[in-house]
Amino acid sequence: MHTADVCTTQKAAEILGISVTSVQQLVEAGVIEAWKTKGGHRRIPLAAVEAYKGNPGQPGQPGQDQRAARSSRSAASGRPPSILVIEDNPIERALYEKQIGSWGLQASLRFCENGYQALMEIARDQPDILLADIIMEGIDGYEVIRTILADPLLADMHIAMLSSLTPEELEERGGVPPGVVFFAKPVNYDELRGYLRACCAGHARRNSLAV
Amino acid sequence: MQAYRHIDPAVLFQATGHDLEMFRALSQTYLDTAPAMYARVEQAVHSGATQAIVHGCHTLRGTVALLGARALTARLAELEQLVRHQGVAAPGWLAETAALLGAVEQEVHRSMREYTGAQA
Repeated sequence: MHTADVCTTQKAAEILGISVTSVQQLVEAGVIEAWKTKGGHRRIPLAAVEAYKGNPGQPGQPGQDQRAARSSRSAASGRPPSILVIEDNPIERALYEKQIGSWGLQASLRFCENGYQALMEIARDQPDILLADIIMEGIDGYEVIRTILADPLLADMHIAMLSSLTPEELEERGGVPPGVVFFAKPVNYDELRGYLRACCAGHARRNSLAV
Repeated sequence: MQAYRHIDPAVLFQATGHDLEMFRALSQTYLDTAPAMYARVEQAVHSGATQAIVHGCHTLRGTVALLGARALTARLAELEQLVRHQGVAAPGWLAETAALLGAVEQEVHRSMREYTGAQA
């Protein structure tokens, strides 16, 4: 997980000007999205902290009007969150399917083998959560993510990059874009499960608010 | 039982959620796909195409890492770094890597026959 996009409970408390205990309570209540690492440390997306800061008392909502508008449309549909995985390696695709399928997420899961296929799939049916490999033939994960980030209508998608690139190699490619989280490969499935659970919980809360 | 020197079957077995059938199926997927991945690396090294070498090594590295093939993973990572910074592979790199790949392949075959997960 990229440290620039997540923070600890302590850091979240400093940003929000409240106690650590209050942050813990907000997280436990599902008001602020978070997950735990394998070692039991809580990780909170900075975007969720900022969203709460901008609108305390409400579950973490994206700050932009377009994000909110799209969130409302998605939530109003009442459908379960959808996860799209872009991965060119057949062994990793099979492992993601097995692992994610065993977590009881109440989410749909689909796969694309390359960036081109992914862009077509996103245009056809926008996912709520995107897990993207980076190094792929043709259109790579970076291009897919930049395309998504450049489109305001796609702005509220949860996006994670998964790669074995070193931090230096990531920097050479422009680093991890703001709002995107990074998981190093080989993937720590406990962390990925926590991340996806947090994303799905946020989706469920928006669903309940939209009803 | 003879120890594994070039792979660690427990890595893939644990990633499958201790599913022996899936472990064997994915091991077969590796055997089916790795030769073509290595052929791309080999071709790229021969042609001196830096980007293709880096890409090929990265792809193969990601795959062998799933098998716990640490020495081969490290070797491919080294070439990636070397080519990124110097643009060429060291003489003899291909032959040594091919030998290591062969040893990994043999142990994957063996793990498909013998590994039961009891050691994980």
